[in-house]
Amino acid sequence: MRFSGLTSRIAGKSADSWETHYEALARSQAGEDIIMLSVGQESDQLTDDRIVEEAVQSLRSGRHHYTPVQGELALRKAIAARHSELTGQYANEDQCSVFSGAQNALFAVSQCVLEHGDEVILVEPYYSTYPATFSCSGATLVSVRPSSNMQINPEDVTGAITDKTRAIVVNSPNNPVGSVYTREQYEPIVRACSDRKIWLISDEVYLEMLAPEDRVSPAGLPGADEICVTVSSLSKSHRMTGWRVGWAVGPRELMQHLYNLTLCMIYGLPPFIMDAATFALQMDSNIADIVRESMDRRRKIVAGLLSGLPNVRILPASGGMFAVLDVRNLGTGSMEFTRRLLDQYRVSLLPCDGFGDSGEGLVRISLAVEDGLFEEACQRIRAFVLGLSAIRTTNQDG
Amino acid sequence: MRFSALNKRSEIFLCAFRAVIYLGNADLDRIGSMEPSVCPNHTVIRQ
Repeated sequence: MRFSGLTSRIAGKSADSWETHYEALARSQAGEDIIMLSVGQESDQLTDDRIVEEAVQSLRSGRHHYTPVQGELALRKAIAARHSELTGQYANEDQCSVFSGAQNALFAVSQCVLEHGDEVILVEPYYSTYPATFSCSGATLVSVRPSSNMQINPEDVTGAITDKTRAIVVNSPNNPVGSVYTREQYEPIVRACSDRKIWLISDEVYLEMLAPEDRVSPAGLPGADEICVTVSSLSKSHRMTGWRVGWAVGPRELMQHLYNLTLCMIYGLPPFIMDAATFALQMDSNIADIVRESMDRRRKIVAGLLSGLPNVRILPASGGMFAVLDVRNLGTGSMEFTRRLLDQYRVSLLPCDGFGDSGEGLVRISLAVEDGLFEEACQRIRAFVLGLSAIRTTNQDG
Repeated sequence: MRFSALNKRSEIFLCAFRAVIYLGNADLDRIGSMEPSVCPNHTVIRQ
């Protein structure tokens, strides 16, 4: 049978980069001693009991019918309040749409603002689902490489704008490299988007995990109201990955289009999930602070154990849930590195080949397992790298 | 700001949906089997 052209746009390197992860997951579930560092999820941590209880009570009270397609009013109000607090941009509930996770929100926004003939600018390295998410619309991807320290260079971004550019996508703190963008970096981009009526799509799922003084969102800058779409979720900040609650905040006209799309796509989220999400946003909590402290601690562990090794380099990072190891000088591609690491040392990492050309030769290390296990994983990676380096040296000498 | 042409297509679905509600049949499972409906902006859908 024939399939649509969309199927080729959603396949490729980005999808391939997850192969090792899924194999590791299957082997782990079959009982093998594998440390999973290939996904950004604190598998050893549970969602706060109070949030779980709210969902249970909601379900028991009969909250299991159809819901407003754009999201329950109470949840949209809570999202608007949280968005205003985090970004500095005032928003109300009419500017918020609820989705089944930030990934779903990005996909929906992409569908509503992009189409064949358009160009969308992505800053590398970008999250591995972005190529499929944004090219699915038919738009052409335009990649902008980062600076040598994996930072965004605003002149490179604005320099990539053409008459066909319809959207620019930014992600800070960045997945995978953890770079955090500043107001000075965002300002020229917001200004260019505002002047040329280009959408600025900002993926901010890791923003709340930064210290308040470090949080910068383009949505809060002058000129952003008309052009900026902010996408976020509860997955990382509230340890709620499996609940699949995310949102988009943007101009009201966009929300109307997102409503129409949601109506024919997911038709709203389960009410008990939305009740729990509302509770999570309104409860007195420091979960995001705890997550940030855990990630910062493990960033130090990985730097301590893997810095100074021959032929590899840990990239500097300020936020997010990952460390990135540059293995280009080892002579193995990142796919082969992760494959052999899994087979020989039973640690699962994610190759960054699917994160754009500048991700080739990089591997992503999740910081989301408890300290003892994380340190053990770093020791295994260290032994693997030392072994590979020794072989490489022997071969060069020979 | 410009939007994609998809928005017009999903709007047509919405009109069909509203027509279903208007006709007093909110059973979503039956949308696919509805006869042609009419709304102010679009003439919809199945022949």
